[in-house]
Amino acid sequence: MSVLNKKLARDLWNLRWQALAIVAVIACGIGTFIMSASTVSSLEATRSHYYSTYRFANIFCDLKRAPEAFAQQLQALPGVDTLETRITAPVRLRFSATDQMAQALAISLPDGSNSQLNQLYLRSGRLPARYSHNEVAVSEAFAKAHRMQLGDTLSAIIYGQTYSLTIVGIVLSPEFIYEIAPSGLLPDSESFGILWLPRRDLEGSSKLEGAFNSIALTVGSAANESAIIESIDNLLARFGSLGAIQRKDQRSHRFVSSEMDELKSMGIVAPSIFLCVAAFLMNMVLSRLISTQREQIAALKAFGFTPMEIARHYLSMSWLLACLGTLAGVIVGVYLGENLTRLYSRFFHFPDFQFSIPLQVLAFAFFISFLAATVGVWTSIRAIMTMPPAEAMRPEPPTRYRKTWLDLLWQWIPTTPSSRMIIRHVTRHPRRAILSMLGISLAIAVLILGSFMQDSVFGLFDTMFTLSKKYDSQISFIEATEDAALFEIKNIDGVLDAEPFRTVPVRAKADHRKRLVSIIGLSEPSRLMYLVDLKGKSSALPPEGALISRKLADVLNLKVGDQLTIEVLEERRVSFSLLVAKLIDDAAGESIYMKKESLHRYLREAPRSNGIYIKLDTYKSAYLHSELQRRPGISQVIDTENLRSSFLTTIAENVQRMRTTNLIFSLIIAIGVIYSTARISLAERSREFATLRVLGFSQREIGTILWGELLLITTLAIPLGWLLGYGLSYATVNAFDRELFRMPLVVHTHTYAYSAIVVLIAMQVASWIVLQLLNSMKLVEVLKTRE
Amino acid sequence: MSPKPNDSSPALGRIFSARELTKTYHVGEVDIHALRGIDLDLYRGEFVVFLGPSGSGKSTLLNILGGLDVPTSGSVHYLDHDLSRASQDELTLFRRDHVGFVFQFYNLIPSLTAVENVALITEIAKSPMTPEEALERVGLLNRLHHFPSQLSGGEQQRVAIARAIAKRPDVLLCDEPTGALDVTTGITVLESLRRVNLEQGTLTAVITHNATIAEMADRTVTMRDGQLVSITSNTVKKTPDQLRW
Repeated sequence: MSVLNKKLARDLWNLRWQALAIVAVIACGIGTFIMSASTVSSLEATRSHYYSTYRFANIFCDLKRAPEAFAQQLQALPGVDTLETRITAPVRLRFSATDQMAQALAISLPDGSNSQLNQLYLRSGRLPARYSHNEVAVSEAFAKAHRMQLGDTLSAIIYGQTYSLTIVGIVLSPEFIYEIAPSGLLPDSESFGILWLPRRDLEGSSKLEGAFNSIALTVGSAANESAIIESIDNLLARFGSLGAIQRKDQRSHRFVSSEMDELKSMGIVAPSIFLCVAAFLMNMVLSRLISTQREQIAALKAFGFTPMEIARHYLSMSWLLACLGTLAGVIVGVYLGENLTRLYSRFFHFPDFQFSIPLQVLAFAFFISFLAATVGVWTSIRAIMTMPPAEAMRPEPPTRYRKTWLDLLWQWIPTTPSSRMIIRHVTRHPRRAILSMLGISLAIAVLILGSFMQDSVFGLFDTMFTLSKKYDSQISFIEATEDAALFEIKNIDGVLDAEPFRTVPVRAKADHRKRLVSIIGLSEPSRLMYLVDLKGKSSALPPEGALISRKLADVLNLKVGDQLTIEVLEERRVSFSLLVAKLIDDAAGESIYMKKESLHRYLREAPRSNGIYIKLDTYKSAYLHSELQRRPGISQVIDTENLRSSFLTTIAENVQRMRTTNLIFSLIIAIGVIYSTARISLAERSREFATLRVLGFSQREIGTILWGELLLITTLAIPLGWLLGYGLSYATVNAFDRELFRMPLVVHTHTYAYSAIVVLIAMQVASWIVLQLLNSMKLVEVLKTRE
Repeated sequence: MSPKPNDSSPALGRIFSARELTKTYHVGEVDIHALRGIDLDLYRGEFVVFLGPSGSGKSTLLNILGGLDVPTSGSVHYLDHDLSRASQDELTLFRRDHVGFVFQFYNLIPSLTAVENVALITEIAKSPMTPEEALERVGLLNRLHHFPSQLSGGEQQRVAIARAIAKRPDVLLCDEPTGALDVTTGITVLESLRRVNLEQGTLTAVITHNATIAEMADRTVTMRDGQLVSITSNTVKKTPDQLRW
């Protein structure tokens, strides 16, 4: 080992606690980077492998009913590769053992074989056999949630008829990596699942013999997907098409993609924060080290070491820290990544999903941590390179203290000499003070970022459940039904109130922009369903025209007063022009609301509804459910309470996990920054403190000066951190701000308070450690040594 | 380094030749004239002492001779190399190959032991002696593995001398080598310097406040206000142990 390397090792050992702080911060940064980058890359690889092996379709379209023979015309469209027709049907399941109800989507399988597209992966058992009757394959998540075994029977209600189905296979499908109910926000395998039945069985129960109501198709490599979609829409319009969609709009695909986007942005934001802090720390620690070693550097230069050799020496110190930090980060990354993968496995259903770190992610991790290390020490290194040897030989001149505008203030405000020492020392090293403040404020920002999710998610919860959904159950009909059904349901014992609603799938168009959405017609005034924006303010329906989600208005580039064109995607194809009367910033994102009567007028129909919101006497809910089950026209019954609890369990757990992780991260940053600041301040001022001791100051009084400096910096950092935290939270909410799901930005006062308290506690811990050091220093000895 | 013009060919044994050397520092808005026209030649093997009060320009002159600094005007040559026009890289190389420095406050690397401090230099030198040999010459073989903080001031300065001579320099420049030491320790340090000067024939230049040290020199250069006041040659040189102050 060369002598310079020995010096490096010993210098580092001297700085070991500060070095440890830097290594820990880098490890967090690299850990979060490796976690997100590796998870994104394995998600991407796993998904694309799954898609290609099991032939996930490129285009999907649901419709009312089309004769099987018509498939040939679709197949003949230019660019279409494989086309498969199928039947889908809503199913209600009753579990007699638990007396639970669940919804499911049934999809047909070609008799006796796997489908051509969106092929099933068989986890166990087999697919329904040829000529078999009432055999079913069940999605794995659903089977797990209900502890279903091969050979169990399911009591399924399809279009009002009850069937007893035997489970022969547990399967996975690339179409349902994310298995979520059509109108759901979160997956809930207890209440929703997918069933696959032989086509013959499903034809019979859906009255679709010789017909289909859904297609999936793949396209050739050079095909123009938009053109194909347009042709399909034209051809299937008269068969009640709901509009063809591309893969990117397919629900499961879209959720997985948006999760990946989120993870990607997290993989940028979090490591950036940590590596910035690491660079700050490197800068503080190394520039202090270099200034104490000025004369050593000068001597090395005098003896003929080139500036490059000396620069390399200090640079390699920071690179060594970067290297150690990265190695520790890999361990952190593997730990976090495996945790995340386990979490994802609960929501994303792949045949096999493993965490692994791709080589290029690892290489990039090293690259960014070395980059941060280099940036951090760059100014110091440049100072070394340009330091003239003769000048460096003279000891560094004492920091120039001059009177500033602050001194003018002091004439008016009585201050003690020690508080002046504190303030002067902080203001005389403005760059370091600012770096420390930035570091601490990032710790606060991380805390807010970890907690605002809780505030916001519960804010969302509040708007969704407390303010908006005043009903206990939402009943959906298989087909729009005349309002007479309402009275029948209203009369069931236990129903306290009932309100019908009408939903119509439409294509909303403005200029060349178009979107597949729903118009929801509500009773006015409504007692059970309030339209509430993200801030919790409720909006009344306008007397004329429609109330439109702001997100949809943005997508279609509409403002209040504009007209949009509506094409109804029901059997009766009606088109009309609709006034945008009002906008609403709502959570669900892409809806058009209007008065139910106006909607009937536009549709030129007698009053009818697709479902009913009901409020019920909770004691009688069991009776009500069994009553509803007997009615053939009902496709699903969603209990608000179920939604609520599944929302709480899924989200609350994740939010709490995030909060804890961020607390740990933030403590590492805060303690690292404050400790380093304190150590440097102590080293710089040991002579000053020793002089004070000689002059009769007590150990405690000197400690107060040091502590006061840390308190000042931390206190100044708090508002800055709040601002940064709010800014980062705002950016995060906007990243979430997509059509699937919107979140209000809520940061409670107690979150701000919490972040300040955590950082102040971290400050206490760090200053306690440094004060121990101060107490153990023989200060009078310090006076005898030369600076 | 550009070769010196032919009109003043180097005299035999002449190592340094400075002509009309000036150096001006700008400190704030004040110009400090550290050197005001110095003409001086230094020869192989001689022991030269520079005397003068603080601010007389001794250190500035030594820094320029040692290639740590460049003059504002005038010329300075080391053999046929023009140091006044040399680039920073050339000066670095010049120091690396030819010059040994000894500083008032030793400037040892505190995190390295005595032998490692010397090895630091022998690693980059062309034909150095071993660190142990250098330390033996200053009488410190029994202190090889001590850190600077475990050595007395005189011992630290002797390590610094060992570090300076280990590369077998042509020139040894010492800035107040005994300035921080008591008499007895100072004498052992001077003894080490004298031995190196005699045994290796190294041109040794010593800056000091202490006029007594001049008694062991071949020549004494006295400076004041950036100018040479006198250059005297000693006919009889004392040995360090004969010096008292």
